[in-house]
Amino acid sequence: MVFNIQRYCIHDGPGIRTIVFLKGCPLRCLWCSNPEGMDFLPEISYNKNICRKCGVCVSACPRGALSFAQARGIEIARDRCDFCGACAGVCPADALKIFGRSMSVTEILDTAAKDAAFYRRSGGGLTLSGGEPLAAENFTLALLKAAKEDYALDTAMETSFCAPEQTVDRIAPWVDHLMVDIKLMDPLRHRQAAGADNAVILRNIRRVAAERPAEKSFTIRFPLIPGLNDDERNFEEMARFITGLDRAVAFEVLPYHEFGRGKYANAGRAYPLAEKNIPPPGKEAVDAAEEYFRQKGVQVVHT
Amino acid sequence: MTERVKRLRDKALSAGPFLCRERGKIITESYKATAGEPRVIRRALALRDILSKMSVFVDEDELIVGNHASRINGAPLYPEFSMDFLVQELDRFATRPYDNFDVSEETKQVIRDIAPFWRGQTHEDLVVSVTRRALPEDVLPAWEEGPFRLNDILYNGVRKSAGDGHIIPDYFRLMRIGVPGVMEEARGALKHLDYQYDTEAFKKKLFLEAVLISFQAVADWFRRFAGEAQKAAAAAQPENVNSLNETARICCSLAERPPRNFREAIQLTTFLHVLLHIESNGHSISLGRIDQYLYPFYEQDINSGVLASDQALELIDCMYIKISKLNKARPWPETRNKSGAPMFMTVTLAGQTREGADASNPLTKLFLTALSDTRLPQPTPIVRVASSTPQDLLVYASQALLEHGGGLPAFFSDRTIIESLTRMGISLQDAREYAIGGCSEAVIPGKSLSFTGGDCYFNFVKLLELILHEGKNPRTGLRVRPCKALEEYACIEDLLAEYKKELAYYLGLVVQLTGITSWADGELNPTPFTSGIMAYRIALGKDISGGGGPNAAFSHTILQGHGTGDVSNALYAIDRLVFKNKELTLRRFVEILDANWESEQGKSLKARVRKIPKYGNDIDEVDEYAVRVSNIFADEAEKYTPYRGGKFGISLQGLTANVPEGETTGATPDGRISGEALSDNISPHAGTDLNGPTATLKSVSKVDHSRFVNGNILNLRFHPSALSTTHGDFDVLRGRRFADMIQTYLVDLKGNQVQFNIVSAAALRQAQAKPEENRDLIVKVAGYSAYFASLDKSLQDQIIERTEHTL
Repeated sequence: MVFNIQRYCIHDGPGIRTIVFLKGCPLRCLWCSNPEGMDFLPEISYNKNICRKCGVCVSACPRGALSFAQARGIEIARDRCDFCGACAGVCPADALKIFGRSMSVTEILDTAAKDAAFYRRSGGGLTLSGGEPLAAENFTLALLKAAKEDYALDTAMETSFCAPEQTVDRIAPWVDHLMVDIKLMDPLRHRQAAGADNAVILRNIRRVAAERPAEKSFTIRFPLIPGLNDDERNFEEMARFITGLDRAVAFEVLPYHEFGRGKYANAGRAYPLAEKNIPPPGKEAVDAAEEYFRQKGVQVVHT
Repeated sequence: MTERVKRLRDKALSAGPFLCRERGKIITESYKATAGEPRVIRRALALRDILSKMSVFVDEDELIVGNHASRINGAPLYPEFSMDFLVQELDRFATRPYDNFDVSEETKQVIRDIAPFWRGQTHEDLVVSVTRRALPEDVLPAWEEGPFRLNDILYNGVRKSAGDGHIIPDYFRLMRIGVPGVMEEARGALKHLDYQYDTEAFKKKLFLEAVLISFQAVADWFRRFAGEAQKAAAAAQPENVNSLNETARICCSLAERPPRNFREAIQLTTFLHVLLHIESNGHSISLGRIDQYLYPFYEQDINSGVLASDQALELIDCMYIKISKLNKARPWPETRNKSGAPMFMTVTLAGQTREGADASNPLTKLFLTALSDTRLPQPTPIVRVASSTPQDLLVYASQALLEHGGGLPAFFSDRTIIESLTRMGISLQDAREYAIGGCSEAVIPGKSLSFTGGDCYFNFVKLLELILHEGKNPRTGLRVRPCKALEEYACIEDLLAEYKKELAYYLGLVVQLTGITSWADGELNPTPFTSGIMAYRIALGKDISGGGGPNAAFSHTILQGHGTGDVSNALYAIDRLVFKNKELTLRRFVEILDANWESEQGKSLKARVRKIPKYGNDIDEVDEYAVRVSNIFADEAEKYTPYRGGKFGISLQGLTANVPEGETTGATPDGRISGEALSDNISPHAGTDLNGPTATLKSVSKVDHSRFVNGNILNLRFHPSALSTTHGDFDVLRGRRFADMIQTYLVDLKGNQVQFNIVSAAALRQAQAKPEENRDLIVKVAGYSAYFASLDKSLQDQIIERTEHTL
């Protein structure tokens, strides 16, 4: 299930790329900027700020899931919605949206191949993201295989590596550019912040680092979140872990941002970091973090 | 940017626009004194009188001199072209909502005094009287109603009050032979006239004499600047004395010999460029391949150590500032089509050499650096992009684009344009020498004649509206000729067949309308000075305004079709809703449009139309109509020969006419309400391209751009973060991807042209709300850039609505 396909992306793998976002993720990171990718099922999103409060969606809904509350706009009985999209189809402001659409491998790759000319010149291609692409193991494998064999696309994947070993082993060889997050080294803190243990993640990273050929890129990405994972202890353990891997990996710091915040409200969710009010790290903080890792012998990159 | 450049820039920016009476007064006196002389001689004598009597000035900071009005930012009067609007709008120039001019009481008096002399004598008077007699009787009322807007479909008012312009002189030749060299050639040609057997010899003699008069006047004008520079030196701060004396020496030298070094060459370029604006009031006078013809001088001076690259940059900065304030007054309706006071002075950079190798050189980068240095809306540097153009240069150009902040430079495709020129019959080597003139028109410098004729705009959307009203123009009630009844259309092919038939009919009228203006130029306003700096004309003994000669094979007359995006969306909507889904009849659809979507059914249909695919999203089913309409236009236009010979140089653009032309176009099936701005140029309708920039580029690239030699302007707007880090600095990585995107579109996908505004919607809204605090915000409008604050509100809105691409 796909919740977004975005063309002309330049930060997730080399060149100009198309990112396919697959729905569903085993983690629940507090800072997640794509909450619409968490669940494995479709969901309805309603942006109150751009709603014109015209009410045409209410009568369009065949299941009576929408009601109109003048000042507050539309109220959605989410348990009644079956994501048919009738409301989104009539909304004049595009305030209502359905996230999650079943697409075949061919449909996805035909869309991705539309920018083939841009990939060829820039060295770009297809990037899978999510959600967690490894969570849809068989589909992701079919998608990557067809991308390489039938469409001759360069492939990249953003993943948490929170997946069984054999899943990672089946899929990783089909990915030209692998980008894996490390959020926190401490297992307990990781469980608190991301909703799952990090043992499997770190084990997968270690194993893939041992096996992955040098010509295929491997990047560790670190979401830098002030007050959550920017402490010296976490830095130190992470640097030790990375420099202890069997092959060289690139390392990239991704500064925390709040761009996903509005999406939580639209999806009827609470923003987990709402009360913390974390300010995005400034240039100095990012530079200092990068410098720390560089000092420790980590190969820091920017994309 | 040096302190000197900063001061010059401040002075230029603080100079308000005004009507300058000098030229109007002098030419009137001159014409009175030369009554009875042959026209071409009269023109030369008029130029002589203007150049000898007008004010010339040298500011002590200036390194590059030359002016066309008595002060910076003046708009000279050209009464020989049009007097009516000057008189009619005399008290309104100062209070225009934008592009206004100060008019002093003395100037008002001069205008009133000279008006009677020109009554019935101007270019406009001739065009109007001939059009009235020459157009078919059934068409005339639809032209008069405009006026100059035939049935709201054809607009040919651009050239009623303007001169030819639209030309790029043979700067390569002038750099070699200089002003005295042209006179030498003219004297040589005079000696070889064959008075016995050449029945045109007497005309040639007059023309060559006129060239000599003009260039003698030019040499004398250079000397006047030398005198002014000396005067300025006498009163200058000590640190400026040397450079002013040097200016004086250069001006004298250029009157006597070709340029010998970089500073002399760039001074001559500026002089010639300014003079072209003094002789006639055409715009789109462009500078050609400046990084090519100035490069030998630059290379020689750098190698011999007499010039450093930062000195060259300062000279280029000075030149940009100098010509940025050339200005002209247009009638109000014409101003609306070109708002922001543009002169369309294009500077062509990079591309290929005659032999097909990469032509970029160190000077290319300096002309780009000067852009970020001076941050002015004009001149308009463009970068020719070939497969051999280094990515590094495109990254550099992207940085200039970010730092200039106002949409410059624009990017053009060598591959597509060279193909379109060779298709005209121009040799591959000559085609590789092309430069861009005006907005987006590809010409061979020195060889192609003015590419304007009547400069006719063709409104694709209005034509569909007429067909949907069975031939009637709903705005005026006029029916020039009937079209099929709506019930007769069984499928979209039927409708397209009718569209083709009607488009062919109006194109036939274009041949006449452009012919009349082109002819009138030859009758009244030959340009012996401009002719002298073009290739072939001296040997031919013929002024350029008459066309013909070897130049004809290089020449095209512009014809611009606009509204491609909207007409494609409209045809797609009709096909899908009426013919394929049978959701309503075509007649019912038209009734809904006539009610401007305001009925209950109208409202829900409008919401429905909004959700169906639109041009600009890389969706073949709808983009196909852009391909079909553009091909119909090209197929028909290729059948005709314009008055001056060569071909119609077609383009899919309308500059800012999409705003006024939208006002006369009713609601259309694509979801537009009555009066709403049309889609600009070849861009998608503002705010409807939602699949990212690559999708937009893919959509637009489906049109066969090689058929449109005069260019298809595509506007894209990016948020500054597309090129900069979160901290606002240029980001090389982003720049590389941006360069890849441009090169893919222009080289691999065979696009024609693309230009960008790198500014957020929030910043534009802020500028709209507080124009005083944002006076220096420049935006790319059409083929030109302008100060945002100087634009019509509806045009500002339209630019804000352009989809903002991010990363």
